[in-house]
Amino acid sequence: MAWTAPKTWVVGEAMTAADINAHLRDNMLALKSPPTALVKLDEASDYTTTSTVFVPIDTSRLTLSLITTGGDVMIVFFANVSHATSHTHLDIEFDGVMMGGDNGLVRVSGANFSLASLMCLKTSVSAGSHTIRMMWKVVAGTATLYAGTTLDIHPMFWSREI
Amino acid sequence: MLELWIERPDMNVELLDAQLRAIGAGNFYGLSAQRGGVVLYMNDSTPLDLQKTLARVARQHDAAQMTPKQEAQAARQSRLEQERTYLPLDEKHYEDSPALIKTMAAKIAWLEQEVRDLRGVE
Repeated sequence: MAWTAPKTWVVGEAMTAADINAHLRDNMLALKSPPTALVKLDEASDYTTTSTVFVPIDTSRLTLSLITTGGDVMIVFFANVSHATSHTHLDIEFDGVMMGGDNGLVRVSGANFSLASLMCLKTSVSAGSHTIRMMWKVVAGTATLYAGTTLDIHPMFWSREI
Repeated sequence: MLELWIERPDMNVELLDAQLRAIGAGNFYGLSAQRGGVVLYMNDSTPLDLQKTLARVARQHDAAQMTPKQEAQAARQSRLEQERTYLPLDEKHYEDSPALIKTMAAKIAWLEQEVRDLRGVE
């Protein structure tokens, strides 16, 4: 249900069923079920990368398509990653632009299934269709993200207009 | 950035990365393994010939081979496994020692090997 900018009534104006339905009922329904996109991974193999520039963790699966009515968008990602010798960097690409930039939003270190968790707010998003992708890179060496194989755990990536 | 997707279910990621970096030099950014394939990342100015060479190396890559570091690690593990059953203890030093001392010496020798393995010491 799409959001409609609430009407401003004037003194003496009749309340019609159409207006009440559009501005009260439909907007309440829109608030109850805002635009949401969610991916839960349960893959046949884990992910690894050796890339020293930010690349998608998964070129198709970890991409969210969200049609918003305009406003703020919350984005959440969590997974377990390992890197035996160096660090893993994570960032979110929103409509082709990195939200963190430089070395990303977070850096995760450790060889034993470190928690990689992000919760971000993208403000003043225009109404329309948007693409959100999870990106990662390493400083050197190889990073692994567990996606349902080795540990049988299931990362989640989701966004919601708020 | 250029991306090349190559379908191959198994690979030695560290070895393939080292092979591609040796060839790709400043053009090759790295690779990702995902869903039964590998994605090669390189900069936009990578010559077509080099793109083809990198793709060919990725297709022909032998996942059973190891990097020198992996071979050294495998050899160390193998040696450690052997030493877990046959301890590197010079028993003639303990010929006249009580059984308890011999047992303790064997335990210490075993612990020494395990600590060396944890520290990555040859």
